[in-house]
Amino acid sequence: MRIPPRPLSELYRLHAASVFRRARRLLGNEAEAHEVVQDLFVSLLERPEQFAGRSTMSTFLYGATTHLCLNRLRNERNRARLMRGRTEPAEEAPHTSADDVLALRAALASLPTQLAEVAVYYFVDELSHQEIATLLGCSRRHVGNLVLRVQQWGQAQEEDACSAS
Amino acid sequence: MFRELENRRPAACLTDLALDSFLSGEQSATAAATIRAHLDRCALCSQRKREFLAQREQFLASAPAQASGFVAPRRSRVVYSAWAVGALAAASLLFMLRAPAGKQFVREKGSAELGFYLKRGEQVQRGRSAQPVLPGDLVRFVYSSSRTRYLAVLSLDAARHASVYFPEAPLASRVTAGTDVALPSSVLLDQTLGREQVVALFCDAPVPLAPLRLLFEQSGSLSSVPEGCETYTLVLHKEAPTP
Repeated sequence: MRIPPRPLSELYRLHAASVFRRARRLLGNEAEAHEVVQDLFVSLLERPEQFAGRSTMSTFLYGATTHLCLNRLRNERNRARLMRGRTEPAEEAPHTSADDVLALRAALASLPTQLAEVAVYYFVDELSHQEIATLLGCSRRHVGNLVLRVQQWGQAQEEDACSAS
Repeated sequence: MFRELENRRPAACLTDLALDSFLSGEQSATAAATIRAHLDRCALCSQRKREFLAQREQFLASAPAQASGFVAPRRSRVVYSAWAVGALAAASLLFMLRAPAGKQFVREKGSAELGFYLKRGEQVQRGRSAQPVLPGDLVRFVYSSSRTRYLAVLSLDAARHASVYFPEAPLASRVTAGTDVALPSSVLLDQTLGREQVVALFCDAPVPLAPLRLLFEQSGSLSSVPEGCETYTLVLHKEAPTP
């Protein structure tokens, strides 16, 4: 299977920086963010059919980047890094403290897959319910329910942490 | 933990996805007009738009320098030297006079090809595919193409390390039509002995090279290349110098 030259080069030129920006924000590690960019574009080169054209390329890449990053956050090495509280400085939202970001990454590594995706889109990317619904292929109402479950999960974790201490 | 992360961006502002999509030209005319109108009156989003564009430019400019696997450290080193012009002309003439009949290089298809000149000490000679070379030799690649294309030269050495010899940029570089046009740099061959594949990609578009380099390293060949590209392969056999 071959990918037409213009889409591949155009895709890289238009989207690679955005993929990198999100991966760096999610992973807190520049080197790993570069690996995510590389993995994603190699995969597009090898399997161009994975982008079926049902959404915009940006939407598709948001989903693909999120999956790759969540997989990385869940691997043992990164879990250990998150538990030690060590991440490289990364571009964060201005009102987000380093502790919040660290806790969020640890949470993303532990949350069930769909809730982790929703947490990324809603709390990290700050997407609208409609945008998340498009990304997940579900209704806005279902997105609202998922966001609520993420919040409940976070609250339960905080309560557990309080009772343990 | 999640409560603190809510409502950081004003509700009326564009999301990153909307902005990314807009900057990639994916929005419908109506949606794009709405976004442009918002950007005109929202200083925050207008600033974010400028930042996104600057990040894109910076990323594309710096990506090849990343050592995180984006471009593997070069085993053989690209160097810039002045030996090419006169020496190549002389060697080229010599080559034309001495060239044996028969196929010198492996051409997959099309009308573009890659050749090279070899400099060992003060001697310069026209190279041929499968030619024995030595660590420390300087290789200067030349291309021939009947039309303007985008060119990249990648290599896979015997230790299965892939490198991008040309260009030192994230995308294949535009080259004009010509015969035996020397590339601007030479490659100083390293100590890795054995068979090294050198593949020239002549493309109709400036294809990104990082995925191709990784593919080359992982699969051992460049069998899957973007459409609109043709490949031209030559082989170097790096031997140990005789004492």
